[in-house]
Amino acid sequence: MKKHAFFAVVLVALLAVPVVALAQTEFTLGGYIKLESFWDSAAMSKNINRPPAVLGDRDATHGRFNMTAQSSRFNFTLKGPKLWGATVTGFLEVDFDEQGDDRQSASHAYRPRLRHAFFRLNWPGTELLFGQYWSFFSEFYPELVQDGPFQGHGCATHRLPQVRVTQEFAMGPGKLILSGLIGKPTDSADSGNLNYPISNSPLEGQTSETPQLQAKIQYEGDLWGKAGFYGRPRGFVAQLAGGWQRSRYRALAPPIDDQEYLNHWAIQGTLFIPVIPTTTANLAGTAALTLQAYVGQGLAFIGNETGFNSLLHVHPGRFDRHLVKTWGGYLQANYYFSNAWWLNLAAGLGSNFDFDTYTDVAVGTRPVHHWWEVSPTLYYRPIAALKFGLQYTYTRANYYRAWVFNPATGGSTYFNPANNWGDVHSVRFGAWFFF
Amino acid sequence: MQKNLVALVVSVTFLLLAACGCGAWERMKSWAGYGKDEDVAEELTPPEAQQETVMVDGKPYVRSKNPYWLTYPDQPEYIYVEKGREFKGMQAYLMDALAKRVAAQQQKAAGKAIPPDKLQEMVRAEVDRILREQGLGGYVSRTRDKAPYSGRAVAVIANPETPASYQGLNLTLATALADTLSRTKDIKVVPQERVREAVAKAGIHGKLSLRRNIQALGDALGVQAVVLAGVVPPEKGTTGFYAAEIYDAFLGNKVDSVVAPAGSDGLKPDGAARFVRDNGLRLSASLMEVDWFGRVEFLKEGKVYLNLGQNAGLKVGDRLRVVTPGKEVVNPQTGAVLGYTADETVGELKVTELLGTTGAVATALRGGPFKPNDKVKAAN
Repeated sequence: MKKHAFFAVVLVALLAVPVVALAQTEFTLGGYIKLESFWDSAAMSKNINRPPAVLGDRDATHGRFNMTAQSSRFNFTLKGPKLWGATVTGFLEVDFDEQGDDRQSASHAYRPRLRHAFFRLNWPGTELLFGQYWSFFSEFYPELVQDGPFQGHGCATHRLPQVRVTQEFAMGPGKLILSGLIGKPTDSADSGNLNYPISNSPLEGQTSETPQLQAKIQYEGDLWGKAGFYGRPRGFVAQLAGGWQRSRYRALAPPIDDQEYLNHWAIQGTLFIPVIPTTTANLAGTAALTLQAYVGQGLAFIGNETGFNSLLHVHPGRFDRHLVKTWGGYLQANYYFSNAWWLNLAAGLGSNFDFDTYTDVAVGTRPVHHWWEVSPTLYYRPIAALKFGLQYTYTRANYYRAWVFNPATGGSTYFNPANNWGDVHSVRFGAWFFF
Repeated sequence: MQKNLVALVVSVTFLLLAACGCGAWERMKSWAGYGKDEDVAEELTPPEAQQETVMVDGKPYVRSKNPYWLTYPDQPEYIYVEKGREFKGMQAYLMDALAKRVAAQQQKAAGKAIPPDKLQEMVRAEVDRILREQGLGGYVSRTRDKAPYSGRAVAVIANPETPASYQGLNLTLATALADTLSRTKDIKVVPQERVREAVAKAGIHGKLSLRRNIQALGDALGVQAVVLAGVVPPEKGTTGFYAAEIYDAFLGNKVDSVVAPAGSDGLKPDGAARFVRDNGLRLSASLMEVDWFGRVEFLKEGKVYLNLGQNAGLKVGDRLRVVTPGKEVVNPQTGAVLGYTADETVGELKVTELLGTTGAVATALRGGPFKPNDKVKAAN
């Protein structure tokens, strides 16, 4: 009787499901080939996502020249079929930004990486997304030559597998967007992760038992005209995004407290302001400002930690782990001389605070205090498929003069040296062919 | 307890479905601020982006796929860029390459094939060669030298000068000829009843084959050519002859004639039918050689109504010359006809409307006033 009733319920529920309408499917291949060429005055990562080495450090004593095409990417898009009144769109994108062994002279062992893999259902005003895509903290990238610009010092670079719901409401001349996602928790390579070191563990440092949650509210509208944003006109945008995640950290060794649950969180606000606007598709003579500011703690959960993610607070007879508190943001101004030539000026900053150099100990890395970067870039885009950029970058990091706890060497500590800052000059050239 | 739970689930499901049916969901969505019908297709591009080309600051901008779509967030699928700079994705490159490849292969295949007009020329030349071998030369169409209108209206008349005892056979011959010619493309044969009426009304004086009589008959019937079918009685050891003469109704002169002897059994209906069968093709070809012309039928409210005979090519917008036929030049001493002077152009018309396959309406561009039976020819 119980079983019969259950099946009856299922049948009744299924009756409410409309027939899937198979519509015409559209398939598109795309991507771009990118060549990056850069000279750095000191050792620096390709994407400038590591703070510069401290002066006097051997990595700070010589520069390097490099060229790479590993940021080239390939994607395909599927549009269709229709389901429940929604259009289904799928997107898959791969790049080769995982470096295996660059010392090979004939071919370079760049490994494919999955950037995006999602599908979404779009109803009028509503969207449901499943898969790996950008987080809300990475929706306003400054337009620089390097990928993931200002990561750790002004702008997060974060993609995550997620389920996302977005709802749009008409509001005046624009629209209000509310969006929320449940996503994969991102666990940093902190030494306090449950299964440290990560490379030896099949769980890959998964220390969260709960998902990461993010939400955003955004207003976008043509209030007084539009200005250039990645080569297309865009109106005023104001966005507020927030995120949270709880991670479990284990005790490294006595006397560090055992098994702590720590809450990562971040709040970010972004404004895109057309300063010299246009009402047409012609961007010549337009200018815009982008401002982004954030605050939070343990920002490794959104790929935006400024040097380090957690610290140990010293108590009498024991250590207590805390997440590093950080604030930061960036300011970008652009001016379009014509639709083909434009200049970008961007400055980004990440700053850790509430770090007591007497009672706080950094874990495994020199503790960054401030890290900032300034990058003017000149772009030339003769046709939509080709883009060239020439950029000068100056980046500098100041470090706390504090103790560093190094668990890899059995818990010994060292004091950050007197020369507690480092900088890098860099000249970068980028060439893109979109297909 | 379990039964109660199942009952509760069933009830809730039923209530939910009922609510959907009552439109509660629609009301909720409308309250939430977006009352669009679910059946309305989502606009994936804003209305203005569905336009292909727009003018911005005096320059054309075209709708282009956005290369940043989906690879960066919040990027639209289509944007407008200056014409000539638009994005052409990998898909388009692939399709272009494929189209080029297919076109190259088609061109290769076409290169081996004979073009249709060349083929037609070759067939015509071969037919002409065969006819010449059979002693029936001169049938090749020289339509390039003639008017571009291939239609001809023809009247077939039993020659009244045939002896009365052979008039029946003559009529049989004329009927068979009319029947055969009417089955030829672009030739229209006037019905025999109309021909008889016209002969009676045309005011024929003297031999029918005289120029003025042929012209008058042509005007009365609205034809470009007149075919006189005749039977020559046997005499002096001959078995008799069947004859067909073609007259150009514009100038009234004979342009061709075919004569064939009767068989050993004499002039018979079978013989007449055989004559038509054997010479129908040649006569058709000769008729197409007759220069096309039309006539002014009447004038009304400033428009000129034309009788085209048979239209096979005249189009709205074509120009026609109103002409006066050239005059015959005769040697005053010998009486020999040397030829005709050129036609004199007295006006020009432009066709504004076609009336089936036999008539047209035109307006005068120059010249006039025109009168019925004025001749029109194609303007070169």
